[in-house]
Amino acid sequence: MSTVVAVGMMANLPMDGRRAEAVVDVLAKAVEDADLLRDAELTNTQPAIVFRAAWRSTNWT
Amino acid sequence: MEVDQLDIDRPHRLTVRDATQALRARQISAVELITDVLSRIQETEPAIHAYALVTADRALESARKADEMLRRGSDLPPLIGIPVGIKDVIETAAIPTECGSRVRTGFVPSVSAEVVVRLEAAGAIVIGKTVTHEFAFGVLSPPTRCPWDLTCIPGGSSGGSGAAVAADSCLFAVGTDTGCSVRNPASINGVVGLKPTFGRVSRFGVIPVSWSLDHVGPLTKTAGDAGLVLEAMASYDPRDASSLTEHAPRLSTEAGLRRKAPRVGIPTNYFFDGVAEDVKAAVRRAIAVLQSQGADVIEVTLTDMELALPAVAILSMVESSTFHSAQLRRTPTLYEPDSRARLEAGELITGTAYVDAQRARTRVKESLRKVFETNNLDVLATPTCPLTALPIGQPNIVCGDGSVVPIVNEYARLPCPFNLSGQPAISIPCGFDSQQHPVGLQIIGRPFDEAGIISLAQLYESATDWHTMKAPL
Repeated sequence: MSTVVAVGMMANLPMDGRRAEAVVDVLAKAVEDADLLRDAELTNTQPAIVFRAAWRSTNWT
Repeated sequence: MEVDQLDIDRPHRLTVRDATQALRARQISAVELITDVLSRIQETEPAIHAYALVTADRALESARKADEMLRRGSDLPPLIGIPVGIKDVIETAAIPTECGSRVRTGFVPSVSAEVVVRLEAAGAIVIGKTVTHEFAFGVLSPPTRCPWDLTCIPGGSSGGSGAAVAADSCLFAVGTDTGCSVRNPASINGVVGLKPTFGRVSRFGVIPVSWSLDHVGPLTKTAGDAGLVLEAMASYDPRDASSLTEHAPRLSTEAGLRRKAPRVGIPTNYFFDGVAEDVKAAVRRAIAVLQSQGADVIEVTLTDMELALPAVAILSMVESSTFHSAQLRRTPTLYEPDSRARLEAGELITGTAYVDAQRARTRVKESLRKVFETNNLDVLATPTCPLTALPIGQPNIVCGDGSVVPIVNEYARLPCPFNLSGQPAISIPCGFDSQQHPVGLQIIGRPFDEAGIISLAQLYESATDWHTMKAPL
């Protein structure tokens, strides 16, 4: 909890102990999600190029 | 062709297609249509609260102009005189756009979103702004209620749009979909919701949740209407970095299946796991109807779908936190507590987690591409949501395995893989559960093939009457 408060304050978020509790709840789920993705053996997988259409539209392909 | 007198007497119940015909045949005027829809809004709003704002005077003024054009009768735009509800995260010039948030109280944009510009150029009349969950972050959409059961949420985040179409308080509405937010409220409220191919509809002027996942799409009473409206909405727009340069399909004239017996893939895994029995049964019956109409139904297995929800959660949290970063520091207390916690948490997710989510996206897209190619599929068919409308005030659900998950996760689980893949997907009504809550069938097509999913949906509608059922208001 105190780490979240510290990191949040470093990021200039208006954070205190009471706020941090709500944030930790949400963050805990995100950490679970991140763990699941990390365990998914993505070794040979490149990130999706999300703005593919934009590259095409500017003839940079 | 004339529209039945019974429908003309209650014009708010008309589909876009029928209203367009009735207006052109001068069976009804645009002012009469708008006036009737405004009466319907007055009648239903105390119960369902689908609108954040109703623009009655402006709509009537536009209707008078539409009647002038109809009297002159030449070069009429395709949606002339048709009232539309616009989700309140989509900017409308000179009309407040508050995103369901105190952060934006009183904000009046000076220009409209491109999708609104296009709809108005096509003759549609903005009748109001529909309720959204704050900044489109959730599926509760307070204070809107589901017209089928006023004790339940309408889904979301385009909950106001779904409820308004279900209540006949507009002829169609526009929503946005980051993980489920057009298709979920369509399913929950028993209407049609279309998420087009990623980049098909410009998001210029739409407040983003996630640049890499957001889509804009119509909510309508029939699949045919979704095609008509999408044709007017779709365009290349250089101001949206993801906008497609491909020409928008002529859905009103070219809609059609690629072949007589379309190949429909039914997933054997993930998409029916943990789905309520009533929902599963309704969707299985819908698939049997498609089969009876000539579809070739094939069972398929998909890999990596379990990566979709975590990837969408991380991408959307990080990207929305990026968008709101400065505002969150300026006016933190104006955000609702759940939105604020989400935005703060999004800033603390690591960069490596974000990139892993984009890598997972590659895997989900690849899995879907392989299944379509290997099986030569035209579409996939699945339930839109594992559950129907849920009671107001219920934040979580208990899954079959005993785990407790937020409602938003469960509602987004089946639609969200197609936000990652960018494929077009439509939700159409396919029955009810034991509580008389609507169930949705999701049909997913190949990229750019909106015509295919709309045609299959129309084939289903031609054999059933779920899309004609009205909420008991």
